[in-house]
Amino acid sequence: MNRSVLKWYPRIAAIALLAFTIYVCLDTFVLSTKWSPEGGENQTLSREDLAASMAVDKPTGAADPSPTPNANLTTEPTPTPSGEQQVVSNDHYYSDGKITVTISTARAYNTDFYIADVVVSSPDYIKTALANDTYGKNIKAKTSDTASQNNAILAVNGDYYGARETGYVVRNGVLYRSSKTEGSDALAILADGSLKIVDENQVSCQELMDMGAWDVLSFGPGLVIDGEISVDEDEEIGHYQHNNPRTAIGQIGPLHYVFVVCDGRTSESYGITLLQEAEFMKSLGCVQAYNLDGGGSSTLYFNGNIINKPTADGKTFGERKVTDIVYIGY
Amino acid sequence: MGCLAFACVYELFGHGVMSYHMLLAFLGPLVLGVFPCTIIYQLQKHGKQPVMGSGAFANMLWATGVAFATMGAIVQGALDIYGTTNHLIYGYLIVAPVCLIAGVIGHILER
Repeated sequence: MNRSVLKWYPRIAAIALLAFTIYVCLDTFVLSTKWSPEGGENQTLSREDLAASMAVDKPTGAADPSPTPNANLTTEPTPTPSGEQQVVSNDHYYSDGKITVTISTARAYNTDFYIADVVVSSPDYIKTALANDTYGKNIKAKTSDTASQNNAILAVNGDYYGARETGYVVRNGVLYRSSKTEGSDALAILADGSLKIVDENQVSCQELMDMGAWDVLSFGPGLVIDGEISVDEDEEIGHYQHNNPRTAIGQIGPLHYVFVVCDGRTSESYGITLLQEAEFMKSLGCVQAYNLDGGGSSTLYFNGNIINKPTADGKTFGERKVTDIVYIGY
Repeated sequence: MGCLAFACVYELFGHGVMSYHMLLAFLGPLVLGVFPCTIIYQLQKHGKQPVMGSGAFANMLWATGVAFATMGAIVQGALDIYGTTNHLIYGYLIVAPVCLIAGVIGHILER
């Protein structure tokens, strides 16, 4: 073998390995890439039309797919839409006749919880948004920035779809990605406002859209499904530690939701397991509840303020930039 | 040892997140590097011919395969801990076995 080849090959191989590794790391964590939605940019059906078609398609006498309110709960007052409604707004409460948000705190499992109880008069007011209004990888923004850009009254971080190359992504009726993540649960927010949690191995994204899904998130797992806790003690996200800051969304009744964020990784707030999260959501009366991205991503935004204490390492506090949010607004 | 130390330090700062790819990355150089070299050295020490040749270029190809396999395991571990995916990881899965097989063929041809 030529001596120059023997001399240069190790150097070239080392440089090739290093360059490829650096490129993989940059592509994963730094380089922004705009992706094209699978379903195209045009929405052929509005949310109102889709909700109306769901009502038409529902067979007579069939079980209502929308969750029924917990029988043990007292009747919740329903905001009545009116022409001119006085807006009541402070650090813990917002009401304008169409949207009512009540912020409360709780302490359980050595952890601080922040609960946003939401009642809306129309499913149009529960929405999702992408960071910088762009679908892609490493296109991120703080939850508060995306929320303020969309005039959100209340917002939480979403499923951080941009960190993965699989998992259903449907936002505002547009199909962005239909590839499933093995073993993952997806959350569908249907056009009529009801939440539906499915196993991606059993229900395709197209089937969800045919059911009337307006938004589909893919992180999970489902915490409470049809009133029953659906996680066990050993279920965790990948190999994550058991106690983490968490974000969850749940439905108590028709157009009645809870957004829950808890702190963690600090001496004040230990964090919770998925089972504890499920138990907490069920204690609030959720008949459907779903786990969203947690850890340093967990953020609760209300009326221009961050309510919880987001942290990734338990030492420094501040929002993590995320790819998407779920919010309440017009 | 360096791979194992790196994996332990990375896991320490990973908030308890664990990746088997990261933890087992040290097996690449151990199983594909240290063990074969030890066996060949022992055979030569006792005057026996190794089953494969000792060509320098074939050795380099084999070492390249080991390096790509090890680095691929470490990078996959980092992705696991971060909770993300990247299809480019398949580059390691392609180059590593190709180089390992090329190294074996090179040794056989030189013998």
